[in-house]
Amino acid sequence: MSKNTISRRQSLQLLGGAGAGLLSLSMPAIAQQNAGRVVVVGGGFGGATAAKYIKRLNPKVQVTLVEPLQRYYTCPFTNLHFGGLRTFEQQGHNFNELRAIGVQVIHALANDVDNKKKTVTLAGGRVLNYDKLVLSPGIDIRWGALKGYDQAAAQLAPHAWQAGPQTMLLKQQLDAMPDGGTFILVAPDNPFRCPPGPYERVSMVAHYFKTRKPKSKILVLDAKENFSKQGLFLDGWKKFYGEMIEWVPLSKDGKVVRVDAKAREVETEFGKKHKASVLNVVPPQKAGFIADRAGVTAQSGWVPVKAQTFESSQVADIYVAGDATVAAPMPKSGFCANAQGKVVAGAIVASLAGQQAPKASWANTCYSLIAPDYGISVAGVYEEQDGKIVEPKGSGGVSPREASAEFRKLEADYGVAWYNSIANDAWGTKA
Amino acid sequence: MSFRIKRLCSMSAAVLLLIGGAAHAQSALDVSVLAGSCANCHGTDGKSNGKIPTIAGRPAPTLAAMLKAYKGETPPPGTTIMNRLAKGYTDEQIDALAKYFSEKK
Repeated sequence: MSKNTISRRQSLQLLGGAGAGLLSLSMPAIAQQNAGRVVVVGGGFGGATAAKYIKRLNPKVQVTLVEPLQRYYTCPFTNLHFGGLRTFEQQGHNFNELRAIGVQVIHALANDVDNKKKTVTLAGGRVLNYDKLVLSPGIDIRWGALKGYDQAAAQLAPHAWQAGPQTMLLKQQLDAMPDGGTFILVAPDNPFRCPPGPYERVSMVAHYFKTRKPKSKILVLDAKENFSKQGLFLDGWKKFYGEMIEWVPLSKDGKVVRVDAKAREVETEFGKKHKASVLNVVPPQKAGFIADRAGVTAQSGWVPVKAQTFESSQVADIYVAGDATVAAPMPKSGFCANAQGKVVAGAIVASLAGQQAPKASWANTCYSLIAPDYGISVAGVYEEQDGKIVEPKGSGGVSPREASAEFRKLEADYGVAWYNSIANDAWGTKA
Repeated sequence: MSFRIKRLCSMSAAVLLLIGGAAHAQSALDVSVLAGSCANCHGTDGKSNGKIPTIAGRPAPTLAAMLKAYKGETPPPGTTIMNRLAKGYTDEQIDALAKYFSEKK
C-alpha cells in the first residue's frame, strides 16, 4: 500500500510543481467512470464550501447537495440587522454557482441516514446513495432543556439563533417596543453556536436603542462567568452605551432556570424574577437532528470527529463540518465551518482516489461590531497533532485592549469585507 | 516549533528516499488545504472582491516577505489580525503559501 501511496503522492507533487491550478487530479483511479458519489447535507458555510471544494479538487466526483431552502440565510451578520445597519435580505445566498460548477442541488429536507446501506432518505421518500456523506447540519435547539422554553415559547420569546422567521420576529418585537422598555437576552453556557454572538447582538440592539429609543435598558442574564472578547465588549459598551447595558454573570445569579414566555418573564437560579418588554432566549443547543439519525452524535449532543479529516469517530465514510462538531479549541463559527469544509473536501477527494488524507490546517477570524465603525476581532490558527486539534504556540488572540479609533474602524470595515469574501467563497454570491 | 520542523525534515527525507527527487514534504493537496483558510478572507484562490487585498498572482518573494514581517514583533503599520494569524505558520509553510498564491492568475 505504501508504495502505491507514495507514487501517487509523487504524482501529486509533480502536478503541484507544474502549477497548483492542476489540482483536478488526473490520476488513474479517478479517471475511471465512477470517481465516487458524495452527498452533502446542509447548504450553510460548511456544506456549501465542502460541495464546492470537492468539485474544484476533482470535477469527476458526483456531488449532490441537499438543502431545504432555495435561499439560505446566514446567522452571521443578522445582528447588524437588529442594529438597523443591514437588511435581512443581505444575509441571503442562492445556489446558482454550485449548480454552475456541476453540483446537483436538491431542495428537500434530509430525513434519515442508513449508515450501513449508505443511503440518505429525503422527505417525500427519495433515496440517495453515497460513497461518502458530508453532514453540515448546524445546530438544533434542545427544546425543554431550559424549563418553559419550547417551540411555542419561541414564538413569543424568540431565540433568533437560526436565521429566518425567528430573526424577523425578534426585529418586529424590537421595532414595536416603546421607548423605556427592557430588552433581556438570556445567554447559554458553553458550548454554543457563535461564542461572541450574544454580545454582538446586545451591542447592536444598544445601538438601535441609542438612536431610536434612548430611555430603554438592556439586561444580559448569563449562565457563564466569562465570555468571548469580554474585556473588549465591556470597554466598548461603556464607551458607547454608558449604563444602558447590564451584564449579570453566573456568580451574580445570572443563570436563568425557567422561562415564562407568555409573561415575558424569566427566573434565575436563586429565584429572582426579571420581566422583559422583549425577551430573547439563546437556549442550549445540540448538533442538527440528521446527525442523530446517522449515528454520529455522542451523548454530549455534539459530533466527535477525527481531527485530521473530520470523519466521524463513530461511523466510517461520514464526514461532519461546522457547528455540529466537537472541534475545540476551534469555536462554532461560520469561518471555522468553511475551513472544516475544505479539510473535509481534501480528505474525501484523497480517499476516493485511494490516497492519504492531506495535512489538515484551519484558521478562524470572528469580527464583532460594537458600534458603527467600531469593530473587534478574535483570530486563531489550528493544526492537527497526534490526533488532536492544537493552536501553534504564540498564534491567535483578540484585538488589543488599547487601540486607536482607526484600528477599530479598520476592523469594522474588514468585518464587512470578510463577510463578502466568505459568501463568495462558499456560495459564489455577492452579499 | 522545532518538533514541527524536525517532522517536516524527516518527512522530506522519507519522501526523497522513496521517490528520489521531489524536494517538498508537502503535497500539492496539502498546500491547497493550507491555503484554504486564506481564501476565507482574501477570496477563492486569493482573489478578493473587496477591501481585503488580493494575494493571487503577486510575486512569491513579496508575499513571503510580507507574511514573515507580519510574524515579527513589529508588524507593518496598519496591521490588524495578520500578525496574530501569521504567527501560526512556520517559515516553510509561508514559503509554500507564497508560491501557491503567486501561481494563481
